[in-house]
Amino acid sequence: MGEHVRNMEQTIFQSVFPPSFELRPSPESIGSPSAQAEYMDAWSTATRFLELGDISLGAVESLGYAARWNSDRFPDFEAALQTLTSHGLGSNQDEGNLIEWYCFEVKRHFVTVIRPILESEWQLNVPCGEAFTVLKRTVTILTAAKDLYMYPLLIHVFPIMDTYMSTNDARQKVENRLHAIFSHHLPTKRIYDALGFVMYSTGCEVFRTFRDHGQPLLSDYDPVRNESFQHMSELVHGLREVGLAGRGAQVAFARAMDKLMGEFVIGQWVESDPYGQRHMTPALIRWIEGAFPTFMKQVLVNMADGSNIVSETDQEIVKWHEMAVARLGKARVKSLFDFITHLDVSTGGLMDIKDYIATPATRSQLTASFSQQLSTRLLHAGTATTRILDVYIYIVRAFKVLDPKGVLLDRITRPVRRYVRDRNDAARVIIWSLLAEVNHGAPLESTPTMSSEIAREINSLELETVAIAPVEDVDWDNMTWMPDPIDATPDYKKPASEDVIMHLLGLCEREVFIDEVKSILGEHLLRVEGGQFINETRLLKLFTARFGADKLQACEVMLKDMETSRKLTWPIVRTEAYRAASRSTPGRPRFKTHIVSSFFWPQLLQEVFDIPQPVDRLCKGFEQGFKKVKPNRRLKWLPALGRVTVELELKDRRVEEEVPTWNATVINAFGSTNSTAPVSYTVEQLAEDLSMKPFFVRAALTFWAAKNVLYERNGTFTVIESLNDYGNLGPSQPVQSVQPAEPEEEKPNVDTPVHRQMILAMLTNHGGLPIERIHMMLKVVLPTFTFDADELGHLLVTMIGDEILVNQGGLFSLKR
Amino acid sequence: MKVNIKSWTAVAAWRWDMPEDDVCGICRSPYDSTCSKCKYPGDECPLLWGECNHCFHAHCIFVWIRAETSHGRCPMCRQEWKIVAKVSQD
Repeated sequence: MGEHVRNMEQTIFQSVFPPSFELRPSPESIGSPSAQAEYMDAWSTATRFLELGDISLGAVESLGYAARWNSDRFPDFEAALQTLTSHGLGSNQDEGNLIEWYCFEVKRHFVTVIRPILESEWQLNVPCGEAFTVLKRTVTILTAAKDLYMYPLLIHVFPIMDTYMSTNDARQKVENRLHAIFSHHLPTKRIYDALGFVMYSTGCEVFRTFRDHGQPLLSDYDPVRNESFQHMSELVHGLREVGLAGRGAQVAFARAMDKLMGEFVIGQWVESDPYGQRHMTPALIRWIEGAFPTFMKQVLVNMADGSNIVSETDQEIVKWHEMAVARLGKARVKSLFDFITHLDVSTGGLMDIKDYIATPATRSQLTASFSQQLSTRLLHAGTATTRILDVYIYIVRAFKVLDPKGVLLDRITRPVRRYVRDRNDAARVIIWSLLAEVNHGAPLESTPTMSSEIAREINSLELETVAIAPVEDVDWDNMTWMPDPIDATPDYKKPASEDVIMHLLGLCEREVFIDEVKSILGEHLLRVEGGQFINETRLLKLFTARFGADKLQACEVMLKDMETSRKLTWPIVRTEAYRAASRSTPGRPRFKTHIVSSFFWPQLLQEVFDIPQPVDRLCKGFEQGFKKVKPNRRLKWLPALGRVTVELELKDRRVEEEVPTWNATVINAFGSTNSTAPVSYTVEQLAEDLSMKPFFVRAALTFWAAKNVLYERNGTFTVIESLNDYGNLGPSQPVQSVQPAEPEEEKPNVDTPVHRQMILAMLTNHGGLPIERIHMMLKVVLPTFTFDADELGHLLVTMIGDEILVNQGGLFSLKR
Repeated sequence: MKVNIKSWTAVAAWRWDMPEDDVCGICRSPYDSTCSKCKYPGDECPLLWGECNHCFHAHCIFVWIRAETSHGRCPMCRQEWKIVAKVSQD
């Protein structure tokens, strides 16, 4: 024990204060003076024999080792060595250890001769492209040096010392010393960095992670067959032979593999598939369990010849597996928003994320990352409400796949819900969307008031599935009861129903919804013609299930009113009063009345004006009939509400339109049975004649002017009896330009007064318009407008130059 | 131009032939609304007039009359409750 400590101390001491090269035995330890003299002679002979001088590697190679250490040169070397050994050369700690002396000689030689050669290679950081070559050269030089240093020992010294210690032990010892000298005097950090790079790039090549390779990797691909892998293995093996495959190299290897895995997961798969079309986790796992460990094991075996490393790697695979899935998941989560908005193609990416979020840590990472994505990409003033609602639907759908328990959805949608509550139109949009008619087969586009996804969702919903879910906590007999998920928040509520619409109805406050549904339903019911009110019934059922029946009484009454009106109409039209009125009405229009329960309907339009005479007569007859059928009740007409189908018989065409009553009343005023002269009115005249507010008159006139039934000149609206006449009506008329372009004009010019005037008129009416809209509208109203958008763009730019228009962020509008 | 009105869908609001904003003396809901138990106004929740000229939702006054404490009297004027069959004016 004591001796061992002393040895240790000595080793430490020598490492701090290295003994001089002139290591000599102390004569005291030998004994008699003659023996001392003999010993010194032998020492001198031996050291002279082993001396390396400043021999260069090239010289040794050309002459050969044998020429250098020819025993003929020192015939008495063997005898000298015998003498030295007999005085205890073999014992480890002996000062007069010849081998110890030789090691110092080697060190001296290495520092003075070999190191300068290598230093020139490693002085600067090695460029990536040359890393392999430089490493290879270094290995060659070091191998040659090692051979040089080992040669005299192996050939001349060890055989004689063999009686004192086994050659293998001695050799191992010397090799260790050599390796220590090498790594001590070389810039190992740079070497290991270069080695790491070589390993990484070999890995990239083996697994084809370079993006331009394109070809997908086969997971059963055997990396060992690869040529560059062979080269790399040889290099690693060579480094091990010169003692440079130790800890530092292992660290470099670990780093390289870490980077390789990242490159493999992210570079090869994630970036090549940004929309997550492929489900990659299974393939990745096959790689992690197949090709990747093969690669690792091969390198490790070359680095250290312990066979237990192989079995250790097998245990590591589970960890690599986790690491790879986590990397893939993390990368995928970053584009979750894209996946969700392209749900039809991104199922693969979604499945990857589902595989990833198996632990609470990853789930919260997902929540954090996705909330971030939401706030930067969705929840800001630049997003239309319909878009937010569309995305909300996508989110609900996606998270139903990701996390059927709904905990994540609950967490994710909180910010969305909070945000949507600040959007005043959200409830309106939702209700309008729920009422929207979906034409099967026709693609549905979102409009500013309608979210196509909601409409699609509600229409795919079976009416029967809208059931009132039982209150779970009170249902003591529920054998399928399950506790809340472990990471649920305290106020987590299990979704009462799995369907998307129920989530949607949780978006806004109940009162907001109920108020909106009342006003919208009122508006909507009076607008739609007949029908079974399937959408409306379904909507009401939904809301009843969600908000309770008592709040929605008004809506139910409204719906019932529509049905009651139909039933009531039959007895009323058979009363004498109505029949008389009907008989005296020319043309016998189909007359129908919605009789609404005034108390339950939202504030209805109370506007009063003079409806056309025949209709007025019908109304009066109807009212009398109503009093007969329902005594004790009064009817109050709401002339501004209701729909009318009018047919206009003009000289050269017929126009049929369904319009509001006030609109029909206005156009009816233009009707004449006998005279051929077109009728004209100004807004003021009509407003007075019909006792209608000018606002409605103007709106109606504009409507008919847009339909080419009327035209305006100097505030007077006149019927266009024939479209051909219309062309000659005067320069102020836009459609005047229907006239064909003049034939002698070879290249039609986009900058005509007509076009300018059209654009000005258009922008006066619409405010700012993008160039596409202007182009489209010009093409619609002017059949002769054959210019493309670029040419129109030139005209617009010219007009901006003339200071007539301004361009504000792509919208052209009049300069004020 | 000849204008043919092919169809005309009008809208009219009905209400009970009572002063506006008047409420049923029993449930305090407007006559045009329903009694507390009904969902739909009109035929499903009619009004009843008494000889004393007071008017209630039919369901409200039935419940009242059925109660013993009412002694069959109108809750407003304490006269004996007798239904008047109101007929239309013409």
